[in-house]
Amino acid sequence: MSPGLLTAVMFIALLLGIGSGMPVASVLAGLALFTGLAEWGMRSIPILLSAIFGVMNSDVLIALPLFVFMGCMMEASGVADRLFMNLRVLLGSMRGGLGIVAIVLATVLAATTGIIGASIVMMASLALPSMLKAGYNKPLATGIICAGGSLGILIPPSNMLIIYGLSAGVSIVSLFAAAVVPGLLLSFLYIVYVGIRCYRNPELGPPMPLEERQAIKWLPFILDLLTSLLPPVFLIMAVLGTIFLGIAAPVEAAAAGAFGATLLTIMGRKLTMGVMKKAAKHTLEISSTILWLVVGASMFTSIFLTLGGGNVVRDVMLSISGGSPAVVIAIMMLILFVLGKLICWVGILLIAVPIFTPIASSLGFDPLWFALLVCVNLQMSLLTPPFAYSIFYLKQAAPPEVTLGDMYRGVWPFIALQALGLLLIIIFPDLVLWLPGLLFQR
Amino acid sequence: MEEKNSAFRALNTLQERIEAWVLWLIYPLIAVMVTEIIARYVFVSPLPWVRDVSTWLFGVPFMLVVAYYYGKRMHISADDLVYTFRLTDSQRATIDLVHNVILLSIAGFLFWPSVQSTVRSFNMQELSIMTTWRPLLWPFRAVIPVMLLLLGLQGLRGILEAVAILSKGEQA
Repeated sequence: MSPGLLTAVMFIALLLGIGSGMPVASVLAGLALFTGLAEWGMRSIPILLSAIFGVMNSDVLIALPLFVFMGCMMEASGVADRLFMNLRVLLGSMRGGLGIVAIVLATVLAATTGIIGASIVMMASLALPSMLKAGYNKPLATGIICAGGSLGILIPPSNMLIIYGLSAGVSIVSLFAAAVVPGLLLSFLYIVYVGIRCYRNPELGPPMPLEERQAIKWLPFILDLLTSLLPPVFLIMAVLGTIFLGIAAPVEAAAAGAFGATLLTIMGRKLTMGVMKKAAKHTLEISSTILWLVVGASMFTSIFLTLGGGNVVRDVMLSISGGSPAVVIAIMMLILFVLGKLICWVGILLIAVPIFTPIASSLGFDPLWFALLVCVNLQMSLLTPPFAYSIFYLKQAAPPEVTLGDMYRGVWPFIALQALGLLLIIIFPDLVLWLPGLLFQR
Repeated sequence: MEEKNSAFRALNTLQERIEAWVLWLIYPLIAVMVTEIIARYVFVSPLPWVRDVSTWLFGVPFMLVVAYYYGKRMHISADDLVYTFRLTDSQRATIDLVHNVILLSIAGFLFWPSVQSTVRSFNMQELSIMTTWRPLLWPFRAVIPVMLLLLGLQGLRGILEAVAILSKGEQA
C-alpha cells in the first residue's frame, strides 16, 4: 500500500477501535501488529518486543509510579485537611472566599502530586462539602473542583510532562520549569473568575456562616496556619527545589517525594498496614495501565513512522495551511481539543506528539513553547465532555446530592478560561520561556 | 464447560495472588532509591546496582499485572463514551470478541520470538549497560514471555466468554 492510503486506513481503524470502547492500548498494539505483519511479515515482531522491553526497562519512567504513590500518600496523610481548614478561616468571610480557598489548595496539591485522581478526591472530600454547606451554587462548586484538580497534571511534578519529555525528546527538567508559570496563570484566572462572579452575585458563593467565623481565636489560628503550611512546603522543596537547583534528577526527586509523603503520613499518625496496601495497590493500578498504554503507543508510532505516516500527516497539514505557522498551530490545537473530548490525555499525547513534534520543529517553533501549548490543551481534555476524566473522579467521590448534570454544566466556564490561558501563552511565549531561561540560562 | 470454568477460576486466583504480592514492591523501590541518594550525596559513594534493581522493582510488577487488569476491565478506554450509546449485550459481546482476538493475536505472534530472545540473551550472557554494575539481563527479559502467556490466556478466556454470550443471545 502507498504511505498515504496506509495512513488513512490506520487512522480510521484507530478511531473506530477507540470509539468502540476497546482499551486504547490494545487498539494501538493490534494495529501495529497487523500493519507490521502485512508490510514486513515476522521481521516486524522484534520492533514490537523492543517497545515492551523499552518501557519496562526505562529508568526514567520509574518516576511515574513514584509520583503516583506520592499523590496517594498525600491523600492519606491528612496534610490537606489541616491546610484547608486554616485557609478556610482566612478567606471564608469573603464572597466566593471558599471557592478561592479551594483553588489555592488545589494549586498547592498540584505541586505535590503528579496526577489528578488524588487531588480531585481530596478536594471532593474537603472543599466540596464545605462549599455546599455554605450554600454554593452546585455547578460552580463542582467546576472549581474539576478545574482545580486538573492543575495536577500541568503544575510540576507532572506525569504528563514526563511522558511528553520522553516521547518528544525534550528535557523533563526544562519542561517542569516551563510549566510553572502557565499553571499558576490558570490558577490565577480561576481565582479572578470565581472572585468576580461571586462578588457580583453573592448567591453563587456566599461567605461562611457568621457563627463559624466568630468562633475563631486569631493568635493560635495564625500559628496553626503557618504550621499547616510547613508540610506541603517541605514536600515541594524536596521535589521541585532539588530538581530546579540541579541537585536531583526527576526520578530521584520522585523517590524523595514518595519518601517525604510517607514521612508526613507517619508524623500525622495515619500510617497503617491498610493505608500502605491501598496506596501501593492504587499506584500499581494507575501506573501499570498508563505504562501499558505507553507500550501500545510506542508500538504504533514506531510502525507508523517507519512506514512514512509522519510525512503524510505533515504534507497534508502544510498543504491545508498553505505553510502558515499560525494556521498549523490552529489546526493542531483543534485536533487536540476534539480528540480530548473523546479520549484522555495519555492516549492523545502518545499518538499526536511523535507526529506533531517534527512538524513543529520544521516550522521553527521553540520545543518548550510548543510542548506547553500541547500540555495546556491536553489539560482541557480532562474537563471536556463527554469523556472528562475529572468528572469521573469527582462523580465517584462527591456526595449524592451533586448530580452529573451539575458537573457537566459547571466545567464549561473553566474550559473557556483554559482556552483563554492557552491563547495568552500563544501570544506571549515568555510566559513559558521566562522561568527555564532564568534557571538554566538556555 | 465446568472444567474450563474451574481452570479459569484458578488462573484468576493465581493472578490475584500475584498482584497482592507484587504491589508491595513499591516500598523496596522507594527504599533503595532513597538509600542511593543518601549514599551519593552524603557519603559520596554511589551504589551502581540501584539503577538496574529499581527498574526491576517496577518493571516486573507492571508486566505481571497487565493481563489481570484486562480481566478487571481497568485499562484506559473510552468505554464511558460508548456506554452513552446504550449498546445491547450482544453488540457489546461482539466488540469484546474482536478485542480478545486482538489480545490473543498479540500474545500468539509475540510469544515465541520473546522466548527466543530470552534464550539468545542467556546464550550470549547479555549484560545490562545501564551502569558499571552490569548484571545479566536474561532473567528480566524472561518476564516478557510470562506476561504474553498470561495475556494469551486472558484473551482465550475473553473469547470463550463472548462466544457464550453471543450463542445464548441467538437461542433466545
